[in-house]
Amino acid sequence: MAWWNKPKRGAETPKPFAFQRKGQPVQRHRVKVRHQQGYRVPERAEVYGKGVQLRAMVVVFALCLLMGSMAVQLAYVAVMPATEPRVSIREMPKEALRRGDIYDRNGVLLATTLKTYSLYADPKRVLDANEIARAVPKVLPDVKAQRIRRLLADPSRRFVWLKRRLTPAEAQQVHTLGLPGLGFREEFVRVYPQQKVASHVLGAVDVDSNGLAGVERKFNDSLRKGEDLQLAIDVRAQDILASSVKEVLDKSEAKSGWGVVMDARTGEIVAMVSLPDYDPNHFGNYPDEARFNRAVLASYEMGSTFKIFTLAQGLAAGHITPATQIDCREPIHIGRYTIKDYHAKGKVLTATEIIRYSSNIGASKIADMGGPEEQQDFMRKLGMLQPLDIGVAEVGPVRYPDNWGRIQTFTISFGHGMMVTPMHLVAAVAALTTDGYYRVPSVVKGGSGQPSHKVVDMRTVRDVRDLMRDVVTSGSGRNAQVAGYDVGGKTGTAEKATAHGYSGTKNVVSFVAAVPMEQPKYVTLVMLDEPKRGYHTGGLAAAPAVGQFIQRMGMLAGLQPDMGKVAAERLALERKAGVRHTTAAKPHAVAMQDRAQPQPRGEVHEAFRAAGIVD
Amino acid sequence: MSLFRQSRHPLVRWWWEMDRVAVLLIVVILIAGAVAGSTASVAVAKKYAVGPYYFALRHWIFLGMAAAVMAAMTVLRPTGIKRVGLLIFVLAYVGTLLTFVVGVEVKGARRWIEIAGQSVQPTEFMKNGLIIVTAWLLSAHDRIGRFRGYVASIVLMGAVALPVLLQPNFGMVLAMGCVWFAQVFMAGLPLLWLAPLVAAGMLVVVGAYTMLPHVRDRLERFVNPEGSDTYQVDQAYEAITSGHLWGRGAGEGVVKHTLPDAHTDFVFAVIVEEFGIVVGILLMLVFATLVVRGFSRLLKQDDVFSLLAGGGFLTLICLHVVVNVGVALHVLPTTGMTLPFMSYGGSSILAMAMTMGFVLALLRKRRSF
Repeated sequence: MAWWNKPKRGAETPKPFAFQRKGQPVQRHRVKVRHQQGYRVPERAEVYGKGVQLRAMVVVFALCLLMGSMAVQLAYVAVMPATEPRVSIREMPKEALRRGDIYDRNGVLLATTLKTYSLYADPKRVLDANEIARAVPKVLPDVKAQRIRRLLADPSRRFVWLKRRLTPAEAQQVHTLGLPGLGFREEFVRVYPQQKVASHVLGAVDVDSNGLAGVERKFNDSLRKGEDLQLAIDVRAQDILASSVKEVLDKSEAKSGWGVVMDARTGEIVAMVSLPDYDPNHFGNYPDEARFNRAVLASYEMGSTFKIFTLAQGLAAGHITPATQIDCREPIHIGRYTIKDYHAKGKVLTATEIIRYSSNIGASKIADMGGPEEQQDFMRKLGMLQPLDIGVAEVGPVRYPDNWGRIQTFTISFGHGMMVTPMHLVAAVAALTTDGYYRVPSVVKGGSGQPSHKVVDMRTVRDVRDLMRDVVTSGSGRNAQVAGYDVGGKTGTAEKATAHGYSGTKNVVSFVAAVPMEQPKYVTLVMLDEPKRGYHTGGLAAAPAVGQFIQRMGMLAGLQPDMGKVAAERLALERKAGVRHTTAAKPHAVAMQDRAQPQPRGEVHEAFRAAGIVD
Repeated sequence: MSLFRQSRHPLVRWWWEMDRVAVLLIVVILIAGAVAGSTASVAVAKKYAVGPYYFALRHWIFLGMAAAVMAAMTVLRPTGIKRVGLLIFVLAYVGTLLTFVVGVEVKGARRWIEIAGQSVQPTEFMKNGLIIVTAWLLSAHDRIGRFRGYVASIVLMGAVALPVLLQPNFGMVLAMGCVWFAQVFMAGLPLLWLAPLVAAGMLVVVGAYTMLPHVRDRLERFVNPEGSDTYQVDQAYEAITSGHLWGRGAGEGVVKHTLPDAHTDFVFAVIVEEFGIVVGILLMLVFATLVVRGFSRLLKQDDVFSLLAGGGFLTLICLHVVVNVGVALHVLPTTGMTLPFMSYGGSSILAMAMTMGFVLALLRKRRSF
């Protein structure tokens, strides 16, 4: 026997290792028995002690019970119907209902269904396979005779497709051949006349007209029943948003860009764009990259745009007013983290200045006044802790810390340590700038139908509006300024989290804006993934796109921008920049401003309404 | 060398002394593991962009190593098993203590240490050592007075539980505690002791619930799934229901692309989705047969140590299967228990290979000790 298996010499009675009392007689062991008394196999009880066998049986029984209960649970699942029943072709109804159409909010056709005829053969009823193989290819050149012979060779099959989606003329030609065993099924083909516009909202269908993505999948059941669907989407807004994002996407060489426009008062999504996009008529030809709807699926740490929520929380809870002074001179050290400002001012800032200069230290200190519970509560009210279903099949995940402590409160106050989708951000900003009520966004006309709930009061809403307006007039969002419109917003620049911590060079930049700021009608968000240097912040890349959108949207609505304000704003800007003016410029500007006075502020949305963009 | 039973060649003798039914069952499990590991890990490999078979290849290499480890283990006699077990226990215990000094922190827990560029989880191996040492102590108790054998093993269990709880790895403590309890029970634990032991176990559970936030969080999610993030579990359950009786077909599963832990904790969901519930139940049947077969052979061995050690190992295997399947079926809260040889992971596969190897060694027919 090898050394490692051999008992110690003289230890045929194995010495129990540290517990033997001196002088106590050692109970006889089986080996000893064998050596001393010849080959007597001892009784089992002698070896095991009382009841060991019975106890072992109990353990086996318990283990089997555990295994068995799991197997029963598994079998129970088997008894229930499969979640995706696989329908065989034979069970398909001969006359399928025509799938419902999809319209935009103004009745523009976005998706419709055309009737076609699909040719099949029943091999059992075919009299002469050779005749079919000769005649059919003459009418339908791309159906080869060889293939027909192969398909018809097996008479046990009752159904084979020969060619799908024939035009009515082709179908007529086949019909006049008068060959037994051939038949037609009416099939529908889905057509998207607007092509790439609204691709991610619509989604696509498969060859059997089942929705694969977007509203096509979400509302698959009702569309299959033939019911039409009207969306909140406006194709024109959709087109303008896409071109605005596209422009900045090309300039910044970002990997992708996406944007959302929401009607702040109803929760309707007026436009939703994710670039690169696809043509739903040819869904299969596009890579996953293009099919991915970033507006609802891309969860990111949003960065500084979250400071709106931090400030709003502080204002609503009464911890601060816009004029409250907060010491932002020193970085905060907490645990092994240090919270710094990127554009450190090194002084005591008011709450307004904190959001204007996007101070992480200031935001952290405001969040700390309420503590983790209050913040979590506020985020829950803003819908940030739950996935958001906006009426498309895709629902993006949210991530928030399991242990929401002080450190997490700090990082979340400036948009890190918590991941939400762009849609979450837009819905929350809309709630804080419109009337303080949170509405679940929806791509369906008329909104989600879910009740709104109150988040903050009107006093806080007015303060938040002022803060966001201030960011655009004198803070990081200046690039979103559009002459003649009151735009308010907030920039965000978040470093992307990678496997090795935060990347210093790869950013996700964003700009969220509301317009007009006195009484917001639209909340607009544009985001870009990894824009190159020179476009690497929300202010540099995303804000111009939002500005671009607002300007073009106004033009589309036939809106005359407030020229007096245009001149006055330009004057103010130039004065700030230190540009010297000729003496003639000033009276001219003042005159323009005077003329502008009687024009109501609500002109922007009036024009939108006149153009039929909103109800 | 003749293959007849009468042959005296050591290799032939080794083969005929083995429990060949158990060997067959383990080979079946190995093959199933190779299939499951390949199909489940493709999605993860895609995520890390390392070529589709990066993890599958590693899984196969680990399974090959597992087979070698098992074969090597079978040459051990009980004396050798005790010695190797004690060695493993001491090394793994030291390794566990080392995690506090040089440990690698992953997802908030310090469970791994780096050995030659590989991260190793010492507690996985400690389970094997603990089972053997406990069986040794308990089987020796009738020679050292009943009282002391138990006390020694209780003290040992406590000494093991403490550092593992501090890692924190609550699931592992629970597993080791269950196996230990089964062993102590089989060794003839007086029924009067049952109450204080159960009370102590409850104390550990309640303590963990109040002290360890991730335990509390998981339990609360399990008990009250509304409003919390049960994404993984929901996905796994959906996979099982969509697989239904006969599965979607090999490689046709979709859940593995959306589940981050598809190749480890939720591998059973992947198997059922692709191969169906029937195969899932058959797989459980294989494990159950191994357990029952093992116990029935151990009872014939006439050796207390073999019964306690082997029983402990079989309980451990059974626990792994039950817990892993239970988590996928959403009847148990999420823990990190692997499905033997199916879940990806070097430490767990090699530790499980040792477990199975010890079982095979203990199941060998023998004429001498």
